[in-house]
Amino acid sequence: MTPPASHTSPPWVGKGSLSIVPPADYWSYLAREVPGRQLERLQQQSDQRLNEFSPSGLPPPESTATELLDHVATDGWLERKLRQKCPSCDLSLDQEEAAQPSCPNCHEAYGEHGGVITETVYLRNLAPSRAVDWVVAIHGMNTAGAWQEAFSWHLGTTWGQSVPVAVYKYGFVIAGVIMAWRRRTLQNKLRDKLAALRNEANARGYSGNPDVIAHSFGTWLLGHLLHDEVTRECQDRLKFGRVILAGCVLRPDFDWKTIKVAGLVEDVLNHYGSKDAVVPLAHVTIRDSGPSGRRGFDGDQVLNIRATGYGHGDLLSIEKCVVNDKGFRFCTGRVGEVSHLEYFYKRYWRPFLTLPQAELHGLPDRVDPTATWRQLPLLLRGTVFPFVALPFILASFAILAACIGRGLWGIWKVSAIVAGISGSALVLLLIAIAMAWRRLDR
Amino acid sequence: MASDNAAPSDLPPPEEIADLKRLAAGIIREQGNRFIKELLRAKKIRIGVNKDDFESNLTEAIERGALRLNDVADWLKAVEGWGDHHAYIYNISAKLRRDLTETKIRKRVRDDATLEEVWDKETVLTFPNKPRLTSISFADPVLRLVWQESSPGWTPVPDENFKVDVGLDTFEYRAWRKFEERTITRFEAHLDKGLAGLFIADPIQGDEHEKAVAEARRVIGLLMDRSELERGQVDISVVSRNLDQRNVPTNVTPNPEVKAQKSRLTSGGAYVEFAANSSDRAYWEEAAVQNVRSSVKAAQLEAFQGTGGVFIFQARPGSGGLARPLRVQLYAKGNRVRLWAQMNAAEVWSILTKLSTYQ
Repeated sequence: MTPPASHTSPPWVGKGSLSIVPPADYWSYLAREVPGRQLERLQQQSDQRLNEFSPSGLPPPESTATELLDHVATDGWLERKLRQKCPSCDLSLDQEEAAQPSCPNCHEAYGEHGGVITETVYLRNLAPSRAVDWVVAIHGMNTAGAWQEAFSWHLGTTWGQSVPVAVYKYGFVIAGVIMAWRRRTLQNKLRDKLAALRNEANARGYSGNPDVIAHSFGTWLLGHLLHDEVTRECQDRLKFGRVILAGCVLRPDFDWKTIKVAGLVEDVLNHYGSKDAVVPLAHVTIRDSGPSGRRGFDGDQVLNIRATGYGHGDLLSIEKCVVNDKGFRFCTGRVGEVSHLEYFYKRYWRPFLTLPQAELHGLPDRVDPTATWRQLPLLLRGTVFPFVALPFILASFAILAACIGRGLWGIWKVSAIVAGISGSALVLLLIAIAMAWRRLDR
Repeated sequence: MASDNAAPSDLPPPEEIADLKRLAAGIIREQGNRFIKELLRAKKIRIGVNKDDFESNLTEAIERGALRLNDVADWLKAVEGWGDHHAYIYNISAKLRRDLTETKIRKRVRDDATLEEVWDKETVLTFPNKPRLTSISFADPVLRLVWQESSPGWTPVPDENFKVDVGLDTFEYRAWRKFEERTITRFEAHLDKGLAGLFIADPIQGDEHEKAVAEARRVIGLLMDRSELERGQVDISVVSRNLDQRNVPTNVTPNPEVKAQKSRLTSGGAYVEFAANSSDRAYWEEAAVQNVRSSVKAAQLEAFQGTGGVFIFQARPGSGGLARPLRVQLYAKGNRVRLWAQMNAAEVWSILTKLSTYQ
């Protein structure tokens, strides 16, 4: 018969796992039990995903470091193991090799050198960090994508190894996004560029798939590019690693499942702003789009992360800063400030890119939509809008040109005199330059 | 569970029982526990937990006729002399392949080498005291040469150590027990795989290893164009470097087939070494070290040479791969591969074939 659980038994004993990092709660609990710098260092090492710990890796004294590691092992987060080594050549020995009288490597008798060396280590089996090979950043409409440079800089300076970031720019697009042919052209150009980058990266030894961060209209281009890739032959398809979407304008019921099943992307993180005022307009202005950048994607294919109170470009802002976990402070360069972009990069996007898939569910602030998205009636889904908006824009430009033209007609004589004088002066100047040139050339 | 006892008329003659017991004692000393267990399990003999149990269970099975000489001979053919070797690997060129036909080999064995007496012979169960070529065969299409030797080995026995005071001095005598070691040196040329391997059991320390290599080279030279063979020797420096590089995890292959426990890359007069503390782990299983390693891409690798390393081929039983993880050590110096574990022939050739793909 199992004895009843004791009320006094510590809450974490035996509840840990060797394959995941202990949660913050566990460290808070441990801090009450064994506070001090040894615990701080241990937590730091654990968060850095070390798989092996030893008392000598913690601040002295070694006796309490051993007690601390034993404590964590008892709770199930580490496994205490004895490691055996040859005293002569330092070869790490397995059980069978250590049971022999001499070393299989140097053939020296263990006994002649004081016997097999045994040391205690504390191990766990976290899956290796996911490798990030190279990254593509795609900006949105109506912007030159200043965030791309900042993002590239953060990645380059904080990663610990060179992670190339391909900054893709398609130019300043405003009215073009509502026109189907223009969107198609932009999508094709993006594909051509990505295919060229892939070939170049492969030739230079980057054998992994690129991860992608896209914003606003860039998410639309990427999503539709992936959608079309599925129809291509397997060997021609562009494949990506993990995808980060911000200010996303794809439909919340976008078919990510087909794309993932085809192996075109590994995982998708949709970081949406609860006060994004732009993306709801996308559905009525751009065909086949929707407000996923404000409410998240439906279904279970995407990790929806909610940024409460954030608007369309706020997640990528490099002018606004976070201080003490509070955003929307204008950056002044003071210590402790981090730009929105850096804050979200460190807290969400970098872990998303590096954590093994089994641990992605632990990302903070995951909030999925509570109801299924319903699209607007057919006529309001960006179908009619271009045919109304485009003539209006063209007519407005024509009226503007006519107004300016009429104003300029009244001063044509003055303009003709200015043009005549400056034109003559320009001719004389060019003749003088030509003569001087010939003299110098001799 | 032991099998039923044999009827008295089915029992082997007493001299075969005596031979088998001697053989069993030698086998138990030499073979890895895993393989002995397989033999006992296959013959439905009680297994036990250590070598003492194996010996008593084997002896008992021999005495009641549950284990016969043929069983042991078949089993030895599959497992003895495979693994726990130093291997030298060669690519077989098209020219050499054309030259290695059964007719030509047969003629050279008979006329040039005068080794007719070992042609197509089975390896002998009782090993000779000096290294001796005991078999040359050509089948499947594999050319096989086998040398056997029962060489003496020494093992320390600290319990037998003693000290003696002579006058004002104390002398310490350390005891080593002599034992007979069944060693097999092999050369196999697999024409279908385009690969050949020379396997030397003698340790690299001491001159036995050099002697064994020299003898093997001499006989090989009688049977084929040795310089052509040696021109195709696999460059372990390149293999070591590529094996390490291509098995660093990427987001496409997060769990590579080979774990690099240790790898050293040299560039000119300096080197970097990546190594895991545990013998069964890869250095890249620590995230920070993986980050450092990942910074060197294939394009920059040309500036480095692999000096060697320890690599673990992971078990991939479902996909036609190895049934258990196996460790090999590569040495660029001497172009040598150390097969650490005791293996069977299929495992050895599976590993050598994989290694050759990293040239």
